[in-house]
Amino acid sequence: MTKVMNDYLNDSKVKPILIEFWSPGCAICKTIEGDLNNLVNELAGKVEFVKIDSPENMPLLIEFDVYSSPTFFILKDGAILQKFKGDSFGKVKEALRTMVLYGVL
Amino acid sequence: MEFYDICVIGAGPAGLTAAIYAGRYNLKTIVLGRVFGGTISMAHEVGNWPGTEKISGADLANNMINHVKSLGIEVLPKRVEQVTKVDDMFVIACEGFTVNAKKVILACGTKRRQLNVAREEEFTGNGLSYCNTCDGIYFKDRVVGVVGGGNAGCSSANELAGVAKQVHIICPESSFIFAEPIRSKLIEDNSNIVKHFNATVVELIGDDRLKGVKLSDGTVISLAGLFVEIGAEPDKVFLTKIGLPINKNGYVVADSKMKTSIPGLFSAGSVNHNNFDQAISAAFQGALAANTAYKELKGDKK
Repeated sequence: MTKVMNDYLNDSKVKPILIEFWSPGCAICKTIEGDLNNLVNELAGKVEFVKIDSPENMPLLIEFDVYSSPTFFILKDGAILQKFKGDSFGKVKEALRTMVLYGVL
Repeated sequence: MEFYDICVIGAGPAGLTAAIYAGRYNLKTIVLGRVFGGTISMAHEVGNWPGTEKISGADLANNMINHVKSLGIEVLPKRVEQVTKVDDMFVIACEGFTVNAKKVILACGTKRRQLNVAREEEFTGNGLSYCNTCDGIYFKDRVVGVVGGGNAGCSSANELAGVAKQVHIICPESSFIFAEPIRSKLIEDNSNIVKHFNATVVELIGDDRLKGVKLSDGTVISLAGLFVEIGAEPDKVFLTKIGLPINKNGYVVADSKMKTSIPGLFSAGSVNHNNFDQAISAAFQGALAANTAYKELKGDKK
């Protein structure tokens, strides 16, 4: 069954989630793919990673208010902690590492 | 710290072709680029690359990256912050990463020209976009605008017309004089494209996201999204920071062998002053830059 925003928020009560909204035509998404996979491996066990193909999930785009690729969300305890849009993978990485360092995640 | 014969800055057609040539010359080479494939990777369709009648920009970029990697060359998604020459070596600094190289091929291309209207940064990613192939899908069945009446503007408007409910194209000229006829004709044939000539955007309207624009003739249009397609220019701040002279239009002027005024630093592609800004000419310049660098290195080794 297709998940809605509330499902992801509920899931984040069990374990924090990093969501990436991407699209097939997004060059930045393709460029960061390797580094993103490395980050996901580095944070395995601490953060769940969900990759959402935007064109295939239009209702979710509206719920999450997403207008560009890539857009990242960090979800924890049923709430959105942070949203990052565009060419922002460096900031996502820094934020997640800082959160882990200070025990937020 | 890693040492290389050649460091290529930029991963578009110029940089990747330079890397292919350098790799085939057996030079230890690395490519540092912010967007794999560069500007061409955002093209909806490329129809003038020899050997491929039609290919998406993303697929063409992917083919080029795979070609470079097949030669054992590293391609890293890095934004270069500084290039410094120390004796005969270049030190290339990225965020948390430094490379040493004997030669540098600068193929960092251009960055998209902005509207220079208040709240532009705030709305970027919140309704304002510079890439319709990346973000067009977010505006399915909604009303969008395209600023620009050249090839990129007309192409974007046509592609968006297939997704959006209605497209307003905002052209500063009195007609699409800077677009190829094949592209402007598609605009004429599209019933859901509304044309605004002799008009520019003077105000972005919205709260937490873009809701519309005000044009120079006073017209206000309600929009869910706005795509800016008014060309591109080199990153003057970066070029100045690395000490590379630029001409009055902001481009690097290289000689016929792609040498710049800094010995050992070559430039190729759309960062150079160029009246024919195409992937094919960028690839040629990249190949030539690698060949010149190779000849100099070969001479060094004698």
